[in-house]
Amino acid sequence: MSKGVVLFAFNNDYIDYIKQAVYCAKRVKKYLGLPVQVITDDKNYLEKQFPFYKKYIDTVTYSPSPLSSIKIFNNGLNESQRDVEWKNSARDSAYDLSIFDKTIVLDTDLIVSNDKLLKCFDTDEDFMIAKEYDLIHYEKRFKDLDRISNKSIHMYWATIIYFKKSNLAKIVFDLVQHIKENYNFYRLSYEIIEKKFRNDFAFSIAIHMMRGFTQNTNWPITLPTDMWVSLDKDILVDIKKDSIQLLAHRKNDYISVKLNDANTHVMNKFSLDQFIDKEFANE
Amino acid sequence: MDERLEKALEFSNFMETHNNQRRILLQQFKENLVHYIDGNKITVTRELLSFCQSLLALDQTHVILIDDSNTPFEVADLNQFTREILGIYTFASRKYMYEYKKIIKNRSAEGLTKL
Repeated sequence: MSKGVVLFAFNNDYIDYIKQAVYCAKRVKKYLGLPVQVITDDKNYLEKQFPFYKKYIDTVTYSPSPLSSIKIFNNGLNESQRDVEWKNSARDSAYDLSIFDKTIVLDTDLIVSNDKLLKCFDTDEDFMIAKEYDLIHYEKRFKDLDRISNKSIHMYWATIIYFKKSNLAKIVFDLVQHIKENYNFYRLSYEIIEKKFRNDFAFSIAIHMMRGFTQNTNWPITLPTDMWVSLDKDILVDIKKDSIQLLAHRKNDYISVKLNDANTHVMNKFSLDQFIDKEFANE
Repeated sequence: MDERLEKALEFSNFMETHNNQRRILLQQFKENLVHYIDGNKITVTRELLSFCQSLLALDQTHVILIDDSNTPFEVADLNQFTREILGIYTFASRKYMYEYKKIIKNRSAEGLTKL
């Protein structure tokens, strides 16, 4: 059975997701040794800006840009805050577009730093999604990272999804598509305040429904990986091999944090972008 | 700033960084103790290791265990399984010790998080 990683990359005026995808693919090759498929609406940009991309990306698949929404992105504590056009609603098409029998879907801003995700392929599971996470600074705890709203269900992270081409996985993705098409209804039913569509919310709702509208069942099992989360008010300082240095925000300043061998979700896209520029200077 | 206050705050910053790095190592140690067997997730503990060793001492060859989701599963080759989980515990604890030693050597916030 074929195995691989799928990345979605749809650029906007401020954030270069295609650049992130190339860097993410580079780390996937290094730590997981798996083929990478990038799904994007702009293959020309990929080829022009990153002529070396074939070293890391095996397949590029065209998909039209999904509908966008507006999201606020921070760049650290004191730097600019921007309303950015966000095109993240294509995740439900991963099942149909993936060329692999067994697929790991990753956000392009996940810094892969170990091989734990390979354990997915040793399980018999049809579908798994990230739920457990660790914040890089212990002082912080955010309820909105645990539940999709204060009085609602547990949140699952579409940052990392694993699926096997199977009836069960197909049902999950079809249901997510249905939720997306009827998002306002589900948003109100699940008391989600935020109006914009989020993959995390749609998958969380789909899982809750498929679990029999309960929260405590054994399905889906936890992904066999770690996921450290750095928020957009934190700053990525540097990455050397499997070590990452970040500045985690406190009230008015930062604390320095170092992570080794840790898969890390970097939400500050601007500092990630700057780091990748530095990294790609020698490509 | 008063020098006494400055020094205390510098130490406070060091301690916060130190505590956070220790927390990260402990969390990673716990994550490294997680083992997947035939789709079942188990956390390797000293209790589980002792239990398996006790069964082996009584010449048992297989066992039923309960995974982290409270699902029962059968371990057909107890000897092999015990070796596996012992390896996992040894790797995780050695890694924890190795990284911890690096932390206690550093006496500055900068040194703790330098790449």
